[in-house]
Amino acid sequence: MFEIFKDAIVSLAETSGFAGLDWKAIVMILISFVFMYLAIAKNFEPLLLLPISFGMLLTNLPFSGLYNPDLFIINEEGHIDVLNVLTNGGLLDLLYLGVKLQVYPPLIFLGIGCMTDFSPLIANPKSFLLGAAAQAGIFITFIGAALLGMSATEAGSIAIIGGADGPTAIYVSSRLLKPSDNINTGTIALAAYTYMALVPIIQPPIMKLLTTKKERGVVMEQLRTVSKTEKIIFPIAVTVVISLLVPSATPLVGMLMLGNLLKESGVCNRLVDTAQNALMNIVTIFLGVSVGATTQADKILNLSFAKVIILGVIAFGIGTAAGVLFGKLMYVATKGKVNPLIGSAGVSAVPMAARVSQKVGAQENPTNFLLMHAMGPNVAGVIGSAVAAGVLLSII
Amino acid sequence: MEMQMELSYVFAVVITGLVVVFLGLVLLIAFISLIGTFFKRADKNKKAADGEKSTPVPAPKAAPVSVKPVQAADDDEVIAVISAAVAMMSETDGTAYRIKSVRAASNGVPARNAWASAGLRESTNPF
Repeated sequence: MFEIFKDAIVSLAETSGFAGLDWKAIVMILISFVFMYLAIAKNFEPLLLLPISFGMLLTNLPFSGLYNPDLFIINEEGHIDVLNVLTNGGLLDLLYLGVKLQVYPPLIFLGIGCMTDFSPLIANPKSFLLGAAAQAGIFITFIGAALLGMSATEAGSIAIIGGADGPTAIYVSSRLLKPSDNINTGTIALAAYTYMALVPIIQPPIMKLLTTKKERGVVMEQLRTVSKTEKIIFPIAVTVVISLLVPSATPLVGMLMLGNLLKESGVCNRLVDTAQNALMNIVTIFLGVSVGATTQADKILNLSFAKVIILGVIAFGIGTAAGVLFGKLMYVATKGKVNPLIGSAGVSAVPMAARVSQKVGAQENPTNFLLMHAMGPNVAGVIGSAVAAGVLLSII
Repeated sequence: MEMQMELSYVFAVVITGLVVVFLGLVLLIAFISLIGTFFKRADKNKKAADGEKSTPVPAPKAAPVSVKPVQAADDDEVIAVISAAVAMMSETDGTAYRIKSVRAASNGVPARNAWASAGLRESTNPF
């Protein structure tokens, strides 16, 4: 009897997670704790960073079998074997299909569209220029990644972090990255959401460095009131123009604008409610936990992840600087009517980047109200980064 | 597996990307501005038509009170409220405070109302 008991205990010990723990798994589990701490205690983009970090924990627990990257290898026909994933996959494999098949990011964009007010952009369409200028961060970082010897797919995936738009970064990286690349969607998402949470720390020093006290103190004219008809025409016009110009940006821009049209039409309140609450929350959980599951030790504990971290912050910095510099150009062109601080909001990161513009402006002149002016470039940045994503997907 | 990119390819991606992003957004600026102009003009015409339709009404006689005394009365009220708040603070702290002067902090720019200030605080918290 004792022998049977002993064998049972030995067998249990050999198949338990403890037997499979190696130093890499332990480090990854500790890293997941750090991200959980940042999400819970420091409020770093908690809605996504918490599911991502928990997905990271689950995937690095030995023998959990929740996520199996081997199932997502591209077959000879150039596709993943979906039937194989459905038959042999774990829970997170099934959820990850939504990332791999590019379903979740456009659905999140649908919810964002329902929550976005494009009035400041419609009232001041020149804000589009600031949204475009801030995308320079994406393309200049692409050069940096290429100089560091990264492949085109890796460089494109890292560069899109500069778009400061989590769903766009996940969308681009999940389409571009191959299993042979040293980084994956999880590492890109981790860097993108961490830096988005750090926008209030990264941006202000750059904004202050590139502007004078006089420029930061500019009080902008109040924006005109936008009619309901204009708000309804806007999403339709943006969809048509952008989709004709960059068809690969259509899934993101199209869903963003569908959400906005549902909201502005005023006749689909039930759909708006579902898209911006229930649907968005469900997709956020699925997206976060399944993307987190891809952050396995071999994709994080390597030099390439360090490159992602460094290039990611450079992308954010250059995007901010480009927006502010273009804002300065507009300050000169309009003879001092544009406050260059609103340019930094062009990087996306809605609404955090616009709030940073407001905050830095208010430090110079507490009665200056830049928030609505900054929302123009901010939402233009969302459209701009979706277009940039489309360009990267088309070329690479 | 890393595959070095040709420098010409890298710059082609960068230039194409920037040009297409600017082109797309400039097209949108043109379209949205055009629509904006149309609506502004339509709004102006509507206002003009409304103005023509309405019959002129004789302007009401100005109130006999000039602006300055009202301003002064307002100021007195504000000072009374500030004094009351300071007195309350003094009672709570157990320290005697003296008001030497009361100055507007708007630096010439009209002060934002309380709702706008509350909204501003809300939107820029917690950083």
